[in-house]
Amino acid sequence: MAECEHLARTTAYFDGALPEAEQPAALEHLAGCAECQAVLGDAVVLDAVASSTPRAAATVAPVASRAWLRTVALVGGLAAAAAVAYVVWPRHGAEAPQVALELPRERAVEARFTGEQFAKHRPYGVLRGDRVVESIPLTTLAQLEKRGDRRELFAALVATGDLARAKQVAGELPHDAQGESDRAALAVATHDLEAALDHASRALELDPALAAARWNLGLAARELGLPRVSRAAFAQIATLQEPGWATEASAQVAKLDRELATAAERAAFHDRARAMVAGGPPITADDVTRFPAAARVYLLDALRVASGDGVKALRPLAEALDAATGTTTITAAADRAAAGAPRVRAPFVDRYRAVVAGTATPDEAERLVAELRAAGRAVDDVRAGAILRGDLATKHLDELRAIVAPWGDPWFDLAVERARIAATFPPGNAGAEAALTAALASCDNPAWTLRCGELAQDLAQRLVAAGRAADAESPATRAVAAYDLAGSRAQVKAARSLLADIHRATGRTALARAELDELALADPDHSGPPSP
Amino acid sequence: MEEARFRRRADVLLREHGDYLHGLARRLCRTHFDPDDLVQDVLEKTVRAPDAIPPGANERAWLSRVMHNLFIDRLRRKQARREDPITVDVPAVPKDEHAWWESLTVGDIRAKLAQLSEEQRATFELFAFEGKSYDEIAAQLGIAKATVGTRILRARTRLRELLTKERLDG
Repeated sequence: MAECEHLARTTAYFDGALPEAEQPAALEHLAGCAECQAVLGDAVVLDAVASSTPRAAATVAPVASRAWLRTVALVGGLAAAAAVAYVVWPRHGAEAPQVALELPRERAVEARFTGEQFAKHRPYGVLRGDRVVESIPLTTLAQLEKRGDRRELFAALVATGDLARAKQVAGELPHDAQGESDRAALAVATHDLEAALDHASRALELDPALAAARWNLGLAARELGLPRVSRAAFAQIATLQEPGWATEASAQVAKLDRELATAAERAAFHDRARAMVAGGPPITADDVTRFPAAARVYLLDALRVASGDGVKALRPLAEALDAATGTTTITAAADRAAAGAPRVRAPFVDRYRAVVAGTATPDEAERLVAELRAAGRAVDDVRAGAILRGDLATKHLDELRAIVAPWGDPWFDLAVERARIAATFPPGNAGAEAALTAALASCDNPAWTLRCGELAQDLAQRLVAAGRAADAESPATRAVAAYDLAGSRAQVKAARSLLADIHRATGRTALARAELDELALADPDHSGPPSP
Repeated sequence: MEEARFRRRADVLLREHGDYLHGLARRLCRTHFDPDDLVQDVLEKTVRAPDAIPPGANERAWLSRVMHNLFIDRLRRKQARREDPITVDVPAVPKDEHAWWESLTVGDIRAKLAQLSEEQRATFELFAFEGKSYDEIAAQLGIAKATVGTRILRARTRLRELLTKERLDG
């Protein structure tokens, strides 16, 4: 029998040599692999016996070194109702005075700890100096350890950068609000952001007033790209008026507001671009270079509805966009629009705008395509647009392909491929996965980023439908990133809620909740740009 | 009272093996499960099962094995919750009466070390007896960290084979 290939990973997990990020997968495998379980079983007993030397051979004495309080509750089988709690270890350290910590004036870890001596605010100083860890004398650490000041020791270990040891101590912290908050702090420091969010959320469930936990939640959310959730956390801390912490929280809020202002600017761009398609003034060359991916959609729409002079006015923008993305295809589209007789194109303008604005019924979109078909080559580009924007690409796949094939424009070719996959593989057909993956592989120019988002979202949706939520995470994340890059808020929203669903389905509830909060906090008024 | 007897028994086991069991629980659970809860579970299962630990057996090995079983049980339950509602059941207290490790001593292990390859023996000793980490061993022996893991894995497997064989033969 071939040996299981994961034996080494299982061994490394037990021996403390497997990075935290790889642990969940290792455990998932271990749960179902008898061979790995047997290997772990061997390791467990061999280490247990090996450890009997020479310490455990002598019975009681050395064990008493553990000074802190340990309570073991035994809940009985027969006396099921009666929970018996009793103290096993003598309470040596409990009355002893606290070990005083001489802490540097600035802190090196942005997260907050619950240890009392770390509660006082110290400015976060990592930006100023080259020192990235705090120096705390080893003897002080040893004293903390000896006294059993677990939370102080934990904070000190993270602050001094001894993360390996901190991780060990993390296992000894109780599973109360403070313990969970401190675990979140460590997870922030090691950039294990999802775990940070998870621990901080749990801490806040246990104690909603624990400022340190809310702080760590704010940090985790910020790093996870959930600025609204993060802002809400820091805004709440700012109201608590804790000296120092409140000021730093307000600074975080201001910084996040600036970030969110960029999002507002993006929304303003979409408003201007939509107005252009509806007959208003064109967007600017600056708009085009700042938002190239979304500008492509709007410029193509604007060309389809422009009069003769309108096309001339759009041409410099088309050139600017091609220059920005290293393409030639938008200028080519402007030439095609200019070649079509304005007299032939004019009657379709209003109805095309209705399709783009989403106010036309499917029947109206269908009728528009039929009339465009009858009107001949002069409106080919409008017909292609109506098929795509009217969501008729799957139905009129061959027609669309015939129109766009001579253009040699990946923007349209990718749309055709997406429609082909949808038409070829009905829901539940496993063939779609390979086809979508292949199409995504060719999606390499940021200019097509919205198309890539669509393909990735299709793939994610199919995987979710097939009950493979875990596999769907990667394409769903890609879809969010693609839409985000294009500044397409409505699509970001759709993809983000898909991602939240995936996280909920895979048991990552804290993350899913934060993602849904972020969506709820986002301004619901902007519908964002239309789908391309 | 029976309950008092359980408590005394748990007390004795904890005094003798508490540190080790807590350390082992942390190694198994890391950040994924609650180690204190696992230790408590081990004690409960052990003190309440009649003749849980056979006379003459290596107590620590036995408790550790119970912990291993309960840990696997937790893993499977977590998995089962996520997938489909199959029920899982691992006997907490080992049923295989004549397990190779049952009355194992350090001396038995040391005696078999000579039969390992030199590389395996040195790596295993540094890890199991000197408490060095993979990183430290890798640095000391000038080998890759992954190689340390492989050698330890092979050393343990070989030891199990040798110790099982001895048990069957003897």
